[in-house]
Amino acid sequence: MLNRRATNYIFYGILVGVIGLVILARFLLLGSINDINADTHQENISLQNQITDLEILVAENRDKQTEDLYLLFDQIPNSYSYESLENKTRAIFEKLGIDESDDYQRFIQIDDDPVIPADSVLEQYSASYKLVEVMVFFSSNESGLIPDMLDAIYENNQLFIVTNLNFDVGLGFDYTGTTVRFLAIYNID
Amino acid sequence: MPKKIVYQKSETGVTDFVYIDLLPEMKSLRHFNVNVIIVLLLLVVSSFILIYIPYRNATIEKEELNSLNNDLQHELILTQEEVIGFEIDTTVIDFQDDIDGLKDFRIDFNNHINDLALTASLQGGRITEIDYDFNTQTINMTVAIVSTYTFNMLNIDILNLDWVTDSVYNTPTSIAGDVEYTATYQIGVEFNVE
Repeated sequence: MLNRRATNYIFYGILVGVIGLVILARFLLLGSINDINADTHQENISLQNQITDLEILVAENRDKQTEDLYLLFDQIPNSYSYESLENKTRAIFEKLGIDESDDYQRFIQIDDDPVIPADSVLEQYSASYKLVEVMVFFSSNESGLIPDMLDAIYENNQLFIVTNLNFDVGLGFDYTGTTVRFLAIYNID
Repeated sequence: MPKKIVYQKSETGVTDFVYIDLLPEMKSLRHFNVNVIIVLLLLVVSSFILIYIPYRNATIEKEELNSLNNDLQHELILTQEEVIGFEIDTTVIDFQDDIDGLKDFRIDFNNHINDLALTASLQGGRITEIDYDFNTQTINMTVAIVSTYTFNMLNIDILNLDWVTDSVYNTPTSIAGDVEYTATYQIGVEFNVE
């Protein structure tokens, strides 16, 4: 026979046990549903973001006319060849009459891996594109060659960006040294 | 546990009487039922408050979220089809945007050079040096002239040009019996300008 105090303890224990059981059941049951709801909520946010991004993409580009990819690759080739770039540069200058003769003393140097300063506006492109620097030097006393040379560089199908130009008439009007540096850009994955 | 023990010795001494109440002490039936009812009531109430209501809310929320999820997935498919319908190729667009951005870094040298060269030649001066630097976005042009008077006139004309930002006067040099005055003018150039 249990005494009254023990019986009361058992009764209170049962009450606590019932509460504990209910709380346990709540966590087991609701915990999984809340997890599922949280996952679904996150998925909905992700879907909504994707939809918004696509809608912005459509809104911004629905009327945009893009050139064919092969035309874009004319401007920024997807393969780099030292010889090809050298020949293209040579052709630009030969067409202007600037050759390797004693009169012009033209020479071309190509740097496959030029240093782009960290604060340069081109820095953002150097990670995605291969930048190659071409340096051309020639001697001439025809100052009119400078505008023609710049036009010829810019009018080329391939995109070139002149980064440095130095035209110097020496004393005595008989010697002009011109150095031009420009970047060729390549889209190489 | 026996509740009560009664011991009685008989008068004859042959037999003794012993009474033992072996029945347990029972609480009243009513008291027992009240405890059970309390336990059951607690179970029901706590289950209702702690389980049923939150579960019902969570279930409703789950249905709403699933419904929204289905709608969004459907909308995403429609939007993707719209992108395909407009033939939007982000790779090509980004590539073209990059090309356009890079083209903006090409400056119109000839426009800058020609105006200054024309101004110089009108005063009989000549351009002896042109130096362009991409990183500083400046063109330095050195102009030489053999007359102090015309040099001053030229200097005024050039400094009146909007895009000439600075000037430095160099030491005059003697060439073929004449003194040549030179000044270097700095032209600020901006990208994105044709």
